[in-house]
Amino acid sequence: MQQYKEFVEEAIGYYKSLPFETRELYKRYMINLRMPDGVSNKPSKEADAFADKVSESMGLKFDLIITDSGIKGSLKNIEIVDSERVEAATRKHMPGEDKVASFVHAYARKAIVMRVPSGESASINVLSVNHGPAPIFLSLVVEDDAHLSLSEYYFSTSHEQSVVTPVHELHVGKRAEVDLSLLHNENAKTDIGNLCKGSVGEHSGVRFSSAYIGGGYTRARTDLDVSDHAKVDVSEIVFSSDGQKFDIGSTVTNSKPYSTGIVNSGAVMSGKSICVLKGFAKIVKGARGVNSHVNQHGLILDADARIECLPDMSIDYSNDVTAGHSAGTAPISRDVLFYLTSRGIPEAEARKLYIMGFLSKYLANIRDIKMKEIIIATMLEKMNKSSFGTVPDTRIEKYWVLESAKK
Amino acid sequence: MKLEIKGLHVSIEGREVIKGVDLTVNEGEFHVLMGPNGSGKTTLSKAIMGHPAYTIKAGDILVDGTSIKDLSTDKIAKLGIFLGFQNPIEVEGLGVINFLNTARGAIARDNAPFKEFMDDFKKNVASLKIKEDLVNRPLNFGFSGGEKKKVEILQMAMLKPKMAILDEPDSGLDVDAIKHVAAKITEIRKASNPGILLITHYSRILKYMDPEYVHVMQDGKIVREGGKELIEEIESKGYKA
Repeated sequence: MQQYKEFVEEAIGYYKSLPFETRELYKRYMINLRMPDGVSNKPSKEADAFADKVSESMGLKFDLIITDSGIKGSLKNIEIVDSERVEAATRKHMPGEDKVASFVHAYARKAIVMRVPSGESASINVLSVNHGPAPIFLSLVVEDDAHLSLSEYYFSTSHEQSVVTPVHELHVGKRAEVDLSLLHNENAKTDIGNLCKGSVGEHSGVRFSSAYIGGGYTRARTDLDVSDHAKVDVSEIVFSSDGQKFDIGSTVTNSKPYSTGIVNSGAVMSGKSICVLKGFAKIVKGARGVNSHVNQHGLILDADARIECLPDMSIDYSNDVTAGHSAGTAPISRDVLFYLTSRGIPEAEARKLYIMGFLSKYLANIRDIKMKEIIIATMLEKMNKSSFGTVPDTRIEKYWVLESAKK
Repeated sequence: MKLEIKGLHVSIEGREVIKGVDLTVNEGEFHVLMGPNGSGKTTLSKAIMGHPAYTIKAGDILVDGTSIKDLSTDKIAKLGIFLGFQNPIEVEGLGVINFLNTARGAIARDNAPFKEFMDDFKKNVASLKIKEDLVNRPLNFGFSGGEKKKVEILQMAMLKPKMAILDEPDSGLDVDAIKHVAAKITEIRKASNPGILLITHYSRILKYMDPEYVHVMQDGKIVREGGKELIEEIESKGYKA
């Protein structure tokens, strides 16, 4: 067990070459995950029933359903690797000797290998329920001229303590398009270590959107390398309430000329929640004509909430590049509330309009309409509760989605 | 609707700005409130609307004989009072149509189907010569000063108030836009007969309208009152006359 704890800490600590884990500035703003007492992966009796219910209430067909009892579903181009072959598969799809790879090789009991062949298109919905601490390894290979839309939903039905660690290895070929969206709405005792590493080929586009709404403590790391004329848009939403802690770090490396890397992060903080946003853009020597931006903005709803913005860039100034970073946090403007309420809108409703307006630019990055509606519905549900300011209960009988999302 | 302001004293951050104002606007009446910068006109309008930063130290504000000074802003709006802002607020990410439809639902005087709302919306957008792409953008976000003022009058037209307080609806407008706004206000008057209290520095917009009562405010008090002739006098002699 001790070895597992060390593995997961180091893995979630991510590559030591990234600035987030090594520089003293970042170390001061690190959220450490809580470890469960055991690494048991007990089959959850509730999970399958929950998956059926959530599928029905959301009006969504899930192509893959991941629980501790296994992976259900099958699709062309998706290979589910069973436990006997998982180490070989993870070594094949996640080569290298880094800590994340070691963690995955040692502890992954499931590997999902998705390959979208050249010129083809795939749209995949994944639901993960009550997953235990063993990493969920997803190898995503999108070949030249292919398109992948992958939406992942992470929930929990129980209030048991757990750690959920999805690990993504993304390989995007030339002229390909990828829309990757994640919603984390686990229970208050679940800690989340969400990792995504990838490379994006020439003239390709990747939109990577994540919404962190549930969970207790979350540490997320994204590391994407962008090639010639390729574009990566990372969009992160943190929607927190009392007691939740988030440490969200994204690195985009513009390694080739005329590449674009954007990291936009927006946090809405209430109660005694804490969020650290770490965005790092790197423009390597020789990458001419690059466009790179890191923007972090926060909305503080309560005096006890805290947000730390750490936008950072590393630029070779000999290059002809367009780059910039911005950060800002503020409470909801009293003048805005006055304006909205002067049109008859009650203050609580006006606050919701303002918050959703603030988040609209991050939601705009999500192409999967259903995912977008469910994220909005989840946030509204959190706001609608008189207990907004507490970590959400995500049990299915209390789950609520927009009518339009059910169609 | 009858709006009565009686012996009103208002302060902000401990500084008294309104120093005893009495004013009554009845249904269908058109009043103009003029005065130099800093005389308290905007403070009066926000105090009527219940802005939490403004404290009513003395006096009262009555609607049809009932005090509204302790009501929240949304409840004052639901009575049918509309404030057209001097500096309309930009709200990121909130679309004009979504906002207006939410406001319409909140005020609940208009239960018309959404299609009728949209037909009405398009008609008013056209008559105010508002650019169509503007209504697909976030509320007031990136709008010019003139565009913001037109959207304020659009909101007035859509929400159909019983009493409209219009704080400098003419500032930032070019000559043609002033005519469009004035024509729209006149059209709303004819259609639904609200009481109007129009606040302005200048007589420009009043050339295209027909106000009945004119009040002049200075240093937190109403110092002169009269009819339309007072506008011409101020135009020629200024406020110090």
